[in-house]
Amino acid sequence: MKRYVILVLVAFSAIFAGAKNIYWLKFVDTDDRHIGKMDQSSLHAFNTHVMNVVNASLASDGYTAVNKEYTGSDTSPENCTRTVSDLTCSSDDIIVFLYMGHGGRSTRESGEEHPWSQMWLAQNNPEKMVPVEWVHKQLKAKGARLCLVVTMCCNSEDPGISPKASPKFLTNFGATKLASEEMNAIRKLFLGYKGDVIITSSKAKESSWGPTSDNLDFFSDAFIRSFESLGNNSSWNSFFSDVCAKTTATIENGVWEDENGRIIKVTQHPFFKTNVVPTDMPNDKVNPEVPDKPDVVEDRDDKTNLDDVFGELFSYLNNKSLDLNTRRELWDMIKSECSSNAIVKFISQDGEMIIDRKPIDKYARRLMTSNIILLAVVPKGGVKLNSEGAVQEVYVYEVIKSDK
Amino acid sequence: MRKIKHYLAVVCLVCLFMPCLGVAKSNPKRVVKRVNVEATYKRDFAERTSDSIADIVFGAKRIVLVKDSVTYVVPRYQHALLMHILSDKGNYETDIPVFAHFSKYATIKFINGKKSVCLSVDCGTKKWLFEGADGKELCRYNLFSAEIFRYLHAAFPNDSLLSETVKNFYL
Repeated sequence: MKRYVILVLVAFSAIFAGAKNIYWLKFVDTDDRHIGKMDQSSLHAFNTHVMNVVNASLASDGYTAVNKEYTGSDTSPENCTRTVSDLTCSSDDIIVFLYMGHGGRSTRESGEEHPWSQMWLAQNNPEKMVPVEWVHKQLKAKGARLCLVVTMCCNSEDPGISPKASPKFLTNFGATKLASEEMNAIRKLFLGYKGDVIITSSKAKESSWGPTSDNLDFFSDAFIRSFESLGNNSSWNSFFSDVCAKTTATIENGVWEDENGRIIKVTQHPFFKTNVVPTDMPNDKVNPEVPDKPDVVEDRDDKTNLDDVFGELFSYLNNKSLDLNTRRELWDMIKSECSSNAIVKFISQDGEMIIDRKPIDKYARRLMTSNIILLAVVPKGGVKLNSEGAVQEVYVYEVIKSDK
Repeated sequence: MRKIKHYLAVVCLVCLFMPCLGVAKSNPKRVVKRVNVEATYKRDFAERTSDSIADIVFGAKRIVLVKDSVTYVVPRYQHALLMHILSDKGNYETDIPVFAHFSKYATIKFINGKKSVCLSVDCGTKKWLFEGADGKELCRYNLFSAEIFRYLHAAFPNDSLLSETVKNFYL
């Protein structure tokens, strides 16, 4: 198994060496006993409704997704500061930072001068909290094309720091479908602007709320709904204004009940700042150049698990800008590491339902030739081996082009 | 005859004052009944929390407020006022998931013999929580009225966060 992992990594690092990256830095407190379940649901919805869709929309522009997701005990101030500090990027890259978890602010800080909160990052020591302002400044300084910071946490004061049952998310039990219009709106938002944008779920001195522990919080729900209704004229300002209006309206106009059927009465006003200038959209689709000799594998230490390998394999096979024969050859080499009856199982956009299955060889060939598959994502733990160590099952989230 | 007339006059007089005497007799002392509001408060409180917490809180011999390093002993005549504030059913409705840690700003300790219960309030999330003597969380709720903050503000009038919380509570 090790043999082909190294093979694939070397091949990919060479192939993607010239690619532009979209970095997803996500820190989510999924273990907290009060909000952990809600964070899990919100993260899942964010991944399937936002991240996968953005990745699929920008793939044709030569963007490769680098997903750094920290959940459970991996969410920590150390990991956050290290990831943010160590990140290096080029001027064409895009950085998206997402935090879901507890937050707060010092009573000794002015809300006007410092409107952003501090993140607890799944620990209890106020001295180790990381200010969102610091993250924003650090990421801005990296010189990426666009830097987006989204924080879903409280902004309430803490002197210790230096109607329906719930929002009903539009559950989609099919694959993620992406129309050209939607794709263009996303491309315009991510590639049509340069600069930095930041949004947080509640303004200074306010708390952020969620209805029931196993559903989405109010802000994430509004964020995803606004994202899904992006139009051709959308800008970061109009998108974020819509998120703010939706969050406030959802809370104020709805009759919300908690798990015990008691009415919830709260207020919450998201706050954002945009510092972007419109820029020309890249018209030509970029074809990453394949160097003559593969370079040394660099910065791929965290890519040693099979999910990442298969994720990259599928995006490579799906890359129509590369020669079909080269892709076929690679697949023929790797095929031998899969069992003869290995299958691919397709997972629905929401939930963990299996909506379809296909023999892996058939699926790989479909990936190489189909024009409607925009993205195939292998989730964590999505590769299962049989008793002989051969690949038996691969789980996949697909984003499919669907034009009416 | 004269004797009879005199006798009849006495009887008439007695009959005349009879109703007055009768009322006075059936209601010899005009006592104002005591309304036992405390029992109602305790019942409401126990319904939302538990009987064991209610027994300690409503039977507290000593109540102290603790904020930072300041300890303030609540005078006995103020116990009833605190019970009134604590019994507001609206403040035991929900514990809405919030994305902030509970930060104990001030604590009210109810001591009944060897048993004690602590009630802490958080100005940021506007919640309160009860803890046992061992520090174990018993229950927590969202606060929908500012009364407890008003009381604490009266006890610590120079505290700016309490003053701001009271001022902005319903905004």
